[in-house]
Amino acid sequence: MIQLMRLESKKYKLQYHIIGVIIAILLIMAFITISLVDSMTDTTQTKDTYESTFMAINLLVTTIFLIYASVLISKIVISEYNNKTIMILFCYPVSRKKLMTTKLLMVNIFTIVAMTISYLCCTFYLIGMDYFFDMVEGTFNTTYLNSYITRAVTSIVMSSVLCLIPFVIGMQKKSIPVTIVSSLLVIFLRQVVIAKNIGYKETLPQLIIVVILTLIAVKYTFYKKVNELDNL
Amino acid sequence: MEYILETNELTKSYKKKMAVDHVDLHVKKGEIYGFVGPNGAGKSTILKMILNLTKPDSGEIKIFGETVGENNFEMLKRIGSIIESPYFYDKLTGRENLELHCEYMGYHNKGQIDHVLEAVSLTDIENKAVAHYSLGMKQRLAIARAILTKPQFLILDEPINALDPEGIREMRSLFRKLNEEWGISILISSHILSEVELIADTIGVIQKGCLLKEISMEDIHDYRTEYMEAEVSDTSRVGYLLEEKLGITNYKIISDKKIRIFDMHISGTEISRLIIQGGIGLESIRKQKNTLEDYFFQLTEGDEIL
Repeated sequence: MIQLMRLESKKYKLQYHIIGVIIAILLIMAFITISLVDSMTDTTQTKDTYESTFMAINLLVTTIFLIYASVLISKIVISEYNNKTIMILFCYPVSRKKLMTTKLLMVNIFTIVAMTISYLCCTFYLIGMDYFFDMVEGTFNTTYLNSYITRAVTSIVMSSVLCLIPFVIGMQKKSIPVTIVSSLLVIFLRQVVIAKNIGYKETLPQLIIVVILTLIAVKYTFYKKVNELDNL
Repeated sequence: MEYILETNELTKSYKKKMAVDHVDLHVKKGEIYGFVGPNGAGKSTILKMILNLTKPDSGEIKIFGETVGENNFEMLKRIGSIIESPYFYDKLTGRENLELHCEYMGYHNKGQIDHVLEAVSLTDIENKAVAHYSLGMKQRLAIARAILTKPQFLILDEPINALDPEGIREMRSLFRKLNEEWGISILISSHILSEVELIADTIGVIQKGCLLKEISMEDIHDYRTEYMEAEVSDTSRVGYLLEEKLGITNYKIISDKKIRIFDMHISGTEISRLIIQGGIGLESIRKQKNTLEDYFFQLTEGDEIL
């Protein structure tokens, strides 16, 4: 499996995506900075609280990396079908299930690692900025972190599952636009669902339901669509 | 007889249209098998089914005596293939593509890459992404990839498409060499019969999804007799004269203007003298040899196939 991952990343030069992740993190930081500076300088507004800034980080990180994951899926899964290189891949003495699972697992791992790093970077950045420039209402207190960390962990777990939905939808017609648009839809639906919840995150039963449904859909796609090479 | 590939009642239809109709292919170990048919006859579909890229509706395929199926992928280690067009990871260079191929195939002799690139005369391709290759170069690279891991069985779908005449000659002698020196069995498809004829040991002809015939080249050579073809104004009278005056019964009236005489011990001059003396108009007379095309033309009873 690790060997296959190495080959995949060689095939698509995935090491360059480290730069993509760095850029994404810098964008999130820039966004937070602008928002904080704006509320500091504008006298009609009050300064942002830790609570609301954490909320913004959470939303930004989840959104950006769910879209990023769908781009990766387009690149390493859907485009194999579009360029018909899947015919080459499926002529290798390797189980097709294993080949496809490897690709999806890579997207999973990428999403988890990239989101974790982003959360850490942005949180330390925020605390640092507040320490030096007093940009946030109130001083930092570790009690803020309790609910924030559970929310961040839920988001990471959720995203690692939700990032498979663009694969399921995109594979039906093997279309890159559909793959990417479906990730936007997933983000939107997630916001609708969690907006109603206390703590702005999924409840455990919701999480379990999503995991089960997604796995069933992935299984169906594996069974029906992965081997379908007739109408490429 | 030991077959490297056997299909049994292979059938596949697309949206009720029969693409492949109960096809029984037999490729012997160590031979070059030419698989010939017009475009859209179902050649590619059959080759894709052999490689398990398309599922047959019914029927069975055996390679190396093992049934082809999704869980029987180990056999793919021993097969090299080109399907449809040469597909590559476009952003990588030719060499990177070949390296990747080696690793997926579990073949560790990377030095072989230089050998195959030389064998297909692809040089000066370093640092150039496959996306910038010409179709002919891609075709050569695809052949290089197919033979890279020294497979026992090569499946080549229209491998000489897009090559110039010189390239076609080179590839032909390359396939021959692979077959003779390394003992590789080759299944090669083409819509040009005369191309396949030059290298194949056995030929299978397919039309509209049906395999019309499998025949060894030796049998075909036996068939390819010489004959005399005359264009005359009255064929039935010529026939009568041939029988009466020269005792020739081995002739065939092709149309109301054409007659073929297969008895070759009587010279053309004698026959033409006979026809003219008989007062029959003689347009032309010449010696001819049955071509392979003629043979298959007869097979399909006038249906246009090649």
